[in-house]
Amino acid sequence: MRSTHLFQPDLAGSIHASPILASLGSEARERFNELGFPSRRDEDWRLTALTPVTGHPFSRAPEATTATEHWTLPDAVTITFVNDRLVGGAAENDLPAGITITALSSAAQSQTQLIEEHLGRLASFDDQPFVALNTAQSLEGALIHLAPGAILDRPINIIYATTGDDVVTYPRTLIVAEENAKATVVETFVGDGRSLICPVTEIAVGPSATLQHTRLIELSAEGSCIGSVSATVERNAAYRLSSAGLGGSLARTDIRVGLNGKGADATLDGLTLVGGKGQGITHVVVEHRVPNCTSTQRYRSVLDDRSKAVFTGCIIVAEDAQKTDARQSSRSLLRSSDAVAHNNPQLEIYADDVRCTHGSTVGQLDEEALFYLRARGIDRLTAEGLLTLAFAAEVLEGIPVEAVKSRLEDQLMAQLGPEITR
Amino acid sequence: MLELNNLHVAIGGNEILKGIDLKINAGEVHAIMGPNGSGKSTLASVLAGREEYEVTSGEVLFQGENLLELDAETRAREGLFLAFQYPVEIPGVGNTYFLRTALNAVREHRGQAPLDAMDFLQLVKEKADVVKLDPSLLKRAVNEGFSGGEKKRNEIFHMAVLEPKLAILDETDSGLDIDALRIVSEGVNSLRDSERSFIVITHYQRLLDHIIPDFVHVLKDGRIVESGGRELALELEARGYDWLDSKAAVETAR
Repeated sequence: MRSTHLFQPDLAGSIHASPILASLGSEARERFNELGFPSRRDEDWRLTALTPVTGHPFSRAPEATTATEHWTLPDAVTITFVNDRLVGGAAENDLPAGITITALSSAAQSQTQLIEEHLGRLASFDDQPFVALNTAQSLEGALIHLAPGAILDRPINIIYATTGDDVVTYPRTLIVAEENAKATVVETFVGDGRSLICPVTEIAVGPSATLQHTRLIELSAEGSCIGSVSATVERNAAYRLSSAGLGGSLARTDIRVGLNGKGADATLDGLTLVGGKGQGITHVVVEHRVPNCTSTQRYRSVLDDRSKAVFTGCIIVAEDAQKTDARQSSRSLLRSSDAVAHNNPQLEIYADDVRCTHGSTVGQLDEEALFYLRARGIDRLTAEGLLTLAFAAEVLEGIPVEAVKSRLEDQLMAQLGPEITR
Repeated sequence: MLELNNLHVAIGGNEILKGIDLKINAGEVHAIMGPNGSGKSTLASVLAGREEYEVTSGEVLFQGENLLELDAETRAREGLFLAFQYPVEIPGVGNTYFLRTALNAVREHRGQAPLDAMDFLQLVKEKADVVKLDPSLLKRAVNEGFSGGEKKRNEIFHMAVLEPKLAILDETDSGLDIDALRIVSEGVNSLRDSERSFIVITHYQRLLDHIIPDFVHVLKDGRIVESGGRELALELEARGYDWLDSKAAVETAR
């Protein structure tokens, strides 16, 4: 099958100096060779048109020759990668004891135990072709380690920039928060050309730890991103994810969260904005493996032109996971009659004493509200922008970092309507 | 200020307004009364620019201009204000933020500089006081979770901030208890001056005990069947609307 694809990853030979990464890489390479790219015959990929990815001859991004411009979160600890190469490190950042931010290539030498224990263990490449591809191909990324009780009050901003046309990058992040640790991590994925980003993020949230995680995906109209997030959440720990995807030809994110210890909580929010002929696709699987855990999924998509958004949200409650409280809501706003939204809630419940709720709606802008705004003097375009922002508000409100939130609001308004005086 | 000449309006092929003539000068308060289904709210909607209504003939001049050519937002910017019978809840849009966007749109249209956040807050505080609007409602989303009375007060508060030339109050008294009615009326009265005109649409005369009109018109089956001074409202209160039927019949017979 692969021979029909124009995108043929170069899978020959080992690319890693470190034996740990080399052996993981070759395992994943084998698996990818078996799996190949998914097709629309695979249930999970039925609604994803992969042509923007497989129909294009991407090759590994070369080292960038010019400096790239990208937004950086103010007052954050920043680590920057451009085309899978570390360009600005956390070394210059003054970090409290117990917190390390290391490039994966160095961590493979210096923090071997952490790498061996977690890398490639949280994100399964057995059944996820693009995770296999990333694991086989990834050269660089970030390892964030928070020792027991370590607390960082500034956010950490990991920037993965992909620059150039016809190039592919494989960013890789591993975050390990040990018992009682607490941090906020903002991952930014930026693609400025006709490029493909295939990121994988693995997260282990230890007992009573709190991890607030934000993912921003900013693509050019021709850019694509196929990424995954895998997290495990232990006893009384909290994992909170806010994702926002703006633009792009194809942006797909697969999120898998396992609630492993009693009292664990996962709150997953997402906002997708698609236009043109773009596709914004999110697949979430939350697995309640033990009793007394809570989870919330709130996903919103805003569609213009002839775009498509898909949300598939699966809640799995294991047989002995009694007293589970799982909620899910997905809503789509169609701003064009040619756009299509699919919302697919899926529940697999094997316990009997649980509370699981889900709701999904697909709607248009409320004409009554539009008229009300216009009758007060606000022009139609601005009124539509305001109502769209309001639609996204629930998810925006959940973003823990104020600067990220206002940047997103600005970007939304820039795409949706004229500038509004604040 | 406003002149309606032989205005005919239909929705979905049904004629609702069947030839309305009305002239309102600056500073005047006109009450429009009538039974349910007489076309009162249609009149308010058409003037405010609701697009689902079709004007089949006649004209509307607002400050000498053809009002019907303007879209809803331009009418508002030109100084026309509709206090909605059913104010719309808009979750996610802050009341203050919304109002500032609206006010600055109106100001820009008038060639005035936008108000900055500080000046705006000062203005809002002042105007909220006029209708005794609970300041916590300013921080909420537009009308979201407001009681019926709070919604109507919010409408008058918006009006006070936007300072229109012509305000149309569409059944602002509906759903108000007597105290809220008094507060809302006081708010309206404080905005009365020799330049600003009002159209007060109501089913009951009790609102007109508080907002004293200069003229009262009775709308029935899409036509103004009777016009008079304030005493007409009192007569309607005493006799209902039915006596107008027999009167109209007599006149038609003549």
